Amino acid sequence: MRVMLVEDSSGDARLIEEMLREAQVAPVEVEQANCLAGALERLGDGFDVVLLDLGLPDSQGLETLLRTREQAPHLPIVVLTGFDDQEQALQALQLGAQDYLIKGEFAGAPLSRTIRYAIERHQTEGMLRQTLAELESRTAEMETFTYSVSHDLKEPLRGLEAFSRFLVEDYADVLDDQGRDYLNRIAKASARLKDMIEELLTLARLGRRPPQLERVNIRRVVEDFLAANEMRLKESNAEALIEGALPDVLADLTRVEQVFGNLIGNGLKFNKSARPSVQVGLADVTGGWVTFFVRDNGIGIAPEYQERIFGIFQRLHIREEYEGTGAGLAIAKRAAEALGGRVWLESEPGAGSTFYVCLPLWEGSGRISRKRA
Amino acid sequence: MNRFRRATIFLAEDNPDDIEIARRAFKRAGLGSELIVARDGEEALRLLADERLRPDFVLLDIKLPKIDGFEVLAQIRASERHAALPVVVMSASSREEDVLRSYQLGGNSYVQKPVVFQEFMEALEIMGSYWFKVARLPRSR
Repeated sequence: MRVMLVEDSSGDARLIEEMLREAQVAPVEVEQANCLAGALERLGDGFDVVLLDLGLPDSQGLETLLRTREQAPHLPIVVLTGFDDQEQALQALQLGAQDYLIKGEFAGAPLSRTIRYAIERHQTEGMLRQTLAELESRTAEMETFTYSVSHDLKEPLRGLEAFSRFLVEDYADVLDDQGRDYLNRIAKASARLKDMIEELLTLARLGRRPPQLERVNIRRVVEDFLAANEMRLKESNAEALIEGALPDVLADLTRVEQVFGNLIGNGLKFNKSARPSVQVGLADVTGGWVTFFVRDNGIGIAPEYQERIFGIFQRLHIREEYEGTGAGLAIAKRAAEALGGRVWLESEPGAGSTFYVCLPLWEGSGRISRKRA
Repeated sequence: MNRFRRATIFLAEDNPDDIEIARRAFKRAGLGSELIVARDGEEALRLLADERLRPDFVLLDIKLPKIDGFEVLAQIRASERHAALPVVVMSASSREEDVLRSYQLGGNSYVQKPVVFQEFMEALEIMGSYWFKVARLPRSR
């Protein structure tokens, strides 16, 4: 095992070297550097681990760690720190150090164990990172594939649409009722195919385009959706209400519109009440995350179907009963996930559904992005 | 629109469906007396170089086999004979860069497929009232 020991105090360095030799399980070779520049120069050649004192003549504190990591991302780093600097040591862990040791508090056996574990963990992390990168590139490939295929599918569809329309326009009078019925079915099928392709494209775009994060006012999103669908609401005697104040979120406006538009639309569509109704409100705010509810008095969804409804083109009803291709909830879910959030539901057949949307809370400027806890 | 009644229309389009759609649209509108069709970019350039053919305007698809529509457009503008020939670019693409490139290369109009015939007629009208005057000025001098 080759250890790069970066330590400017020769006393400390000698002590650590001795400890390592005493406690060794495998043969240990220690090379010492007493400044960062000297260490970085040599880090290319076959070391297994770096023991790094953060306070060096040519570099101080976390800067020392960052520069080492940048130079040698392939190597595990164990930080050596004084008793007073444990806060800094914890920060070092967040910045990618494998472990830290407090000078004067360690002995040979724990030291060598720390080093071995650090090497082991670093390797596992490396493999995980690689797998993750592979997964990401495959997902991206899949999305590009979906996008280009959907795009290419539009071309034959144009012909189908145009010529069935020409048939209606030019030849309807030479067809009998049966013939006109078949023509109608062709027209409807191509319209449905067109919708499905558009929805596939929407889904593929969700993965392809990085979200443009900004402060988004949910009340405005809901109100805009209701205004745009005013006629439809009136025709079906439906209502949609916003309950109370809604906090702003850090999100991409288009995606938030996709989430709420689809959930509200869904709640009003799958609804047999005399007065279909949807309420949007605040369910919870915790730790930088806000959860909204979208509650409807619709037909409800049996527990066994509650997973399936988020799949693309999944329908629970025959087509004559409810229109649509069954992509709305898939789009809502993917749009929320693209923002780091999620969508789930509580529902019972006959008792309506409540969908929940969890999104990052807007906490003032200065926050750019973050991961869900 | 009158100037187009007896026009010779040049259509560069590889998709047989789109050719038929265009043929029907022209027929129904009583537009054009002759339709020249090129099925790829190479054929388009060959036919355009043929002095016996005298197209009044060109409908040009971007996605053509062999030589694409952008290149065909560039060569039309580079040629002395057709530098002022009105060209309407057609494409399924709504990408801004494709639209922009068509205009940069000297396209007179850009229509997106499926071609809404009304839009197309408007494009022709604009060309009729503006482009022809501008484009033909130098020759009448």
